[in-house]
Amino acid sequence: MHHSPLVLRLLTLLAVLCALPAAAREPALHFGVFPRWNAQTMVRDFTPLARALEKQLGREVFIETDKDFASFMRRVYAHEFDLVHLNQLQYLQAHERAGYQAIAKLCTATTCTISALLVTRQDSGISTLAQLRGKTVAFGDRSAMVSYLLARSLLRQAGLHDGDYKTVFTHNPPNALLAVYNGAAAAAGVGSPVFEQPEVIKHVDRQRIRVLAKSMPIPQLPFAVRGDLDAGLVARIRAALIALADQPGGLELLRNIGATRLISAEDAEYAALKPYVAEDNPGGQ
Amino acid sequence: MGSDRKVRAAPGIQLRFFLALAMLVVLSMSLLGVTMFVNQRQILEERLERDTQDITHVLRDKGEASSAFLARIAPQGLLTYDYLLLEGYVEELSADPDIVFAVILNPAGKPLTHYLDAGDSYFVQHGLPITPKTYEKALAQVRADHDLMIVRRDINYDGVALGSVEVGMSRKRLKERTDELRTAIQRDLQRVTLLTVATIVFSLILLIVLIEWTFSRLVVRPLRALSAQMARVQDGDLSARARVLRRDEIGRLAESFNHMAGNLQNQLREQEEQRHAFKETRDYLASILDNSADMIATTALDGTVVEFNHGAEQILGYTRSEVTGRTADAIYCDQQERRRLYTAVRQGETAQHAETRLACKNGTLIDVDLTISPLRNTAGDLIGSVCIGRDITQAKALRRELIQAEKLASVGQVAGWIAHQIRNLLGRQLMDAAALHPDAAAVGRTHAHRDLTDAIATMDCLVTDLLDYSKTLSLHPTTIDLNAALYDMLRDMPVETAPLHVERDFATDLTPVSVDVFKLEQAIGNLFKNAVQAMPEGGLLRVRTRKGPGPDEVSISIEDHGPGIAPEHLDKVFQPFYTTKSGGTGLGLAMCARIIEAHGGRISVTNVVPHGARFTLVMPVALRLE
Repeated sequence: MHHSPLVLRLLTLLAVLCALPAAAREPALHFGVFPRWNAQTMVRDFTPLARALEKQLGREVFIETDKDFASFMRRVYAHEFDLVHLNQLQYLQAHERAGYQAIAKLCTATTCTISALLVTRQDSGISTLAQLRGKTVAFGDRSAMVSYLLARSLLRQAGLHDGDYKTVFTHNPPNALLAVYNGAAAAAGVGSPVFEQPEVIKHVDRQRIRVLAKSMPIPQLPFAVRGDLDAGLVARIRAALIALADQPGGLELLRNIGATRLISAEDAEYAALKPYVAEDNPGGQ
Repeated sequence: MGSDRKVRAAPGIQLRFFLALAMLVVLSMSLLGVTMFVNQRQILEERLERDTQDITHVLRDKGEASSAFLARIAPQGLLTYDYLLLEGYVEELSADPDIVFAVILNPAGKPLTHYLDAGDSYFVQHGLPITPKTYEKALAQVRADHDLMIVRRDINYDGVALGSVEVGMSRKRLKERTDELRTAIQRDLQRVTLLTVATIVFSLILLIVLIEWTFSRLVVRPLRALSAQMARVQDGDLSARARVLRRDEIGRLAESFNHMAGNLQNQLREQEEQRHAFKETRDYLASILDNSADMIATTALDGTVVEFNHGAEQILGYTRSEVTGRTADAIYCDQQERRRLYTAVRQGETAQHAETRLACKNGTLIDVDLTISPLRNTAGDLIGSVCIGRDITQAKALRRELIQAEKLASVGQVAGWIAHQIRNLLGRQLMDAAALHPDAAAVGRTHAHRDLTDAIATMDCLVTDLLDYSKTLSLHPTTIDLNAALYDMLRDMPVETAPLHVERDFATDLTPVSVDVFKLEQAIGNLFKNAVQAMPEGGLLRVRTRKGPGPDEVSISIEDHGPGIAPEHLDKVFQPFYTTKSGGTGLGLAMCARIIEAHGGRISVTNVVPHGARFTLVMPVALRLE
């Protein structure tokens, strides 16, 4: 995505202006959301959750995002956000470099974990991962935990390393899936919830997609707070997030972000993912 | 014109003018309205065509612009595999109501975007469900729809063909736009039509009202006013005059009417005056008729009575109604006399003082004196007769009695006069006889003898005159030249001692007359004798003959220059035994008048200036026996 900074700042300002009348008694809470999709989509989907948090916390909550993962992470590392929502890899990086602590994570109706999938078209003639040798494999983003690192681990487990296939990054998992769907890639690495994404549901005939491989489950996307944030406030944030599913309209706003509920999360749950990160990014970058 | 042909009743001139005008104006306005309507319709249809083309161009331009936009931005998504971005663009474009679909295709024609607006009316109307499963089928169908305006554009990036874009523009929307435009234009046309019709109707009404008002003001109202004045004249008000407001045709008509009414008024006034005068005359004549004691009646040519006045009713006892319309035959006792009288009247003559006898209603017979004259109309044509009569029964009886008395008195007077004359002569004879006595002186006997002889001669003359006068005149007419007879009589007239100058003034054109020559010579000789005796000292005797004075008459005048006749004696000189001369018998002029009247003539005497007397005899050319 190549949105200009000016556009993003305007979007941020819009979110601020929208939240302004709601609360002004406490210092505002800056809520950073990683650009899992494009910036507009992320702001749109998380704004209801921010409004709900405002009510619960009695202070303004500003939704903020950025044009890509790198830019976003630079701001995370700069502690610009009080509360962040990011993927598992980004959390590990944020925890390690900026001290953010996981307080909650997404859950669907049946699970609070997520797996990586390697998918291909039904009519691609590919039935094993080995057949991907020399083919193009699409991934969402180089920094994507599930749709890249975890999915790539499946390829590696099948004996295919980076040079054995052509890698293309499509910014996000739905694009990776669409690259397969449109024939631009032989396979794509995606997270298992990708098929629940509205954009995928709207554009992709699931029947034409076949799953070649599925990884082990890992914790869902976390919500983390800045490490120096007031513990009481952290507790209130955690409680508010967990209580969202019980709030009127809570399920609706949770569905917007691909969840049915939020549960408490701990940093230890994500610590188990460090080997995946270390394989690709030994320096933690 | 005196035509009695029936004139068909027709509506008023204003109504007829109004209908004709209304038809003309309606026709004109209708033609104008139709022309305007057709013209306006053509303009609107041209505008519709132009607008349709404009909309088509706009739609095509929009398709071109949309496809160009998508083709320009598509490489960004294609090269970075950002298909969601492309889907977003396609979705945004598809939100345009004029765009049915937008799709990005790879070089092989396979769709790289997968969005169709399921809510678009096109898919709703075509019943195409839009799901990922049906997307490709729906796209194939919509791409093959020729009703859509499909704009295709290739996607090139640095000379590399990345695919193409297709944008399907809805012709249906174009049609809807066109229909909306057509509807709007038709609505405009209806509005224009309504406005045109309203304007025409308003103009029509205004024009008709204006013209009607003008016509009414300039024509109808003046005509009605003129008609009202005519009606007044028709009702007898001849003082009615029309107002002349303008010097136009109606104004001249009003002037003519006024002139005619004025003339009519003058004529009627004159007629009224004449009628009044005629009535006065008629009343006067009627008064004369009614108040006249004489009978006055008129008859038509067929003899029927027309008028019968009050005097006639009083005299004859018949009422007017009993007589008028019937002939008067029963009234006349002598039918022969009646026929003679009316025959003369029908010949144009007047029967004057005709005495006859009539029968009254009660059977009494009366003597009447009738004068019957021809009755003519103003043209001089004979139309009947008018009879004026007087009851002379009593007068006639009185006259008979008077005549009888006069006869008796005359006999006594004549007897006394004769006795006186005879006594005088006898006295003279007795004295002469005494003088002739033998004892008387001889001287006296001679004188007595002469006087006795004269007395006896005088008595003889007296007896002769008496015998002549008492004898019945029996005329033996012969036709003579009167001038020649007079000439002879003057030549043989005895010459007296005194010198006498005779002047003969005889008309040369005198008609021969039928007379008893001896009787005429006796009468004229008697007049000559009187004239000579009137001029004992001599003088001028003038004898003149003339034709006239009436037709078939001649006149003789004998004029002396003696002392004349005293005025009180002028009307008595022709009475018998009247004389102013001593020794006269008084029968000379009486005998003279009797002879002339026996010839049907008349005699008169007048004095002449400075002195003298003139006897004038008027004789008929043909002898008229009484």
